[in-house]
Amino acid sequence: MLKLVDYDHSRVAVPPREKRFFTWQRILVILLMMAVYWYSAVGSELSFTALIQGAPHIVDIISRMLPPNFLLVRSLIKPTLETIQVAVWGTTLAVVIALPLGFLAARNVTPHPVFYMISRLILNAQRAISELVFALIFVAAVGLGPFPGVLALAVHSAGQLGKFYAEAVENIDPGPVEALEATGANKIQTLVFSVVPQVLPEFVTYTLYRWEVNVRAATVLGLVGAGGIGFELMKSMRLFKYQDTSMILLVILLTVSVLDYVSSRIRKRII
Amino acid sequence: MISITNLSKEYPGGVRALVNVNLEVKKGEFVVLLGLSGSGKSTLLRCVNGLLQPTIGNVTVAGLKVNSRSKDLYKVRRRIGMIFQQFNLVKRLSVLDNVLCGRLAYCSVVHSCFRIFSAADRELAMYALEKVGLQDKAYQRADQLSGGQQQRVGIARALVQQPEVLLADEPTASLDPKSSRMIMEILSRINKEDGLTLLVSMHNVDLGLEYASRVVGLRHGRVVLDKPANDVDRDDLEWIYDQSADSPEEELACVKAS
Repeated sequence: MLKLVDYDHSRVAVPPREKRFFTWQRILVILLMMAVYWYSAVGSELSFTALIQGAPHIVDIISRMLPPNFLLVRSLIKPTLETIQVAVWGTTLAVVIALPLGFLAARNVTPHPVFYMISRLILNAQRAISELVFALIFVAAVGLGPFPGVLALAVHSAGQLGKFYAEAVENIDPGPVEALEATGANKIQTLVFSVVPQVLPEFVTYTLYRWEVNVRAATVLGLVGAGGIGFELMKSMRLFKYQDTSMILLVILLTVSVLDYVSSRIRKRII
Repeated sequence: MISITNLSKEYPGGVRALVNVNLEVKKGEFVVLLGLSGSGKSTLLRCVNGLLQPTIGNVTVAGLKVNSRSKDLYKVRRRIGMIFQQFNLVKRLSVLDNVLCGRLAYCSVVHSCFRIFSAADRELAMYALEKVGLQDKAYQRADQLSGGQQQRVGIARALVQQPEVLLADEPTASLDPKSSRMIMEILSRINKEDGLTLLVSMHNVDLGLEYASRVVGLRHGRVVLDKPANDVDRDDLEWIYDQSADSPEEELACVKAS
């Protein structure tokens, strides 16, 4: 152990800081960031006075929301279940799309760089467009109701899941892969016995997490006519039934919390 | 059994890991490769089973040419077992499944996709585990085992390939002295009882000399020593570990102390 009294103080010196705190570079960066914030405030019409002036209205809406209309609960069960059902199938279809794309988009297992580029491109496109936009497209294509919501969630979350999967595959320990190659196992066998067991816990975690996100997303999808509890939410607000609105918000809060808990339990069991 | 002719390996970036290596290993030999880190030991081993494609030169094992671009590479590879410094087991699989991985090159792809192995393969795997003294650990997860036990699973995985040649890349470098000795004992037994040809790279000179029948020394990618283990003396070791003449002595001192 190094005793602080033992060493020769005259020999050990802390070298001086190489740079001053305020360098020209740093001042420039700070000025630039201030400019960006000011410019964005103008663009987004940020206004403190509008917030103050609007405050009474917010208080007014909240007061009209109270007390929540508890009698509504029974009629909310079906749309709530519908929202969860949309999330279940949206996530499942997303996994089906994301699995092959994820492996193709992982640099260490992709059979050819062309596959890598194409699958990355597809995943990026899926991720760049929000599920809300996809929902609008699918509502136009297959009509109102929960089914376009399923398709929208499937396409968008496949983009995100695929990217996560690819990253998990890229981060595996290459040792066992090399060991199986050395035994003469072919690429598919190596994938099944060495890559899949390594990435399985991460895949499950990401997928469950995405399912949680999709339940929340599915409530929003109702706003564009893709069914579920979001549709009820929009209806209540259009009809100025604010006590119904607050009840629906309570049900959403409860549903999301319960599902968070359930998926965290499942995750703990698997890993 | 192993025939290496005019082998050179240059990595992208111009590092010359092996320079014109010629080596002939006969059936049943126990060859220990000695050399500093970076002297080319790992590269040489990986050229023998085609994990690396040499820049020039040829390798044949049991009469079959090793060519990492050939479709038939698996036919050579499955006759060459390999064990690693970091064991390279699949941690989340059971010990038995890890051992069965050594049979993959003999299985149909469809069966192995569903992790189905024949009864004969499973029997062979249990026999291999018995051979390394781990039959009672068959259904434990690989990451629950100690380092020495994991390396024994690695040996069992190589054994179920029913190989003629066993390559080992510093098999004892991550193990304590007791486990190291045990691994060397097992390797030596496989060499004597089953007649496997062994090519083992090592850092622990004393341990290597004790078990080897022949010592090959590498320096800067060249073979600088090739002698029966009994004839190797201090001067030979200093010649291999030239750069800092005292390093083998330090190592010997460490080993003796332990």
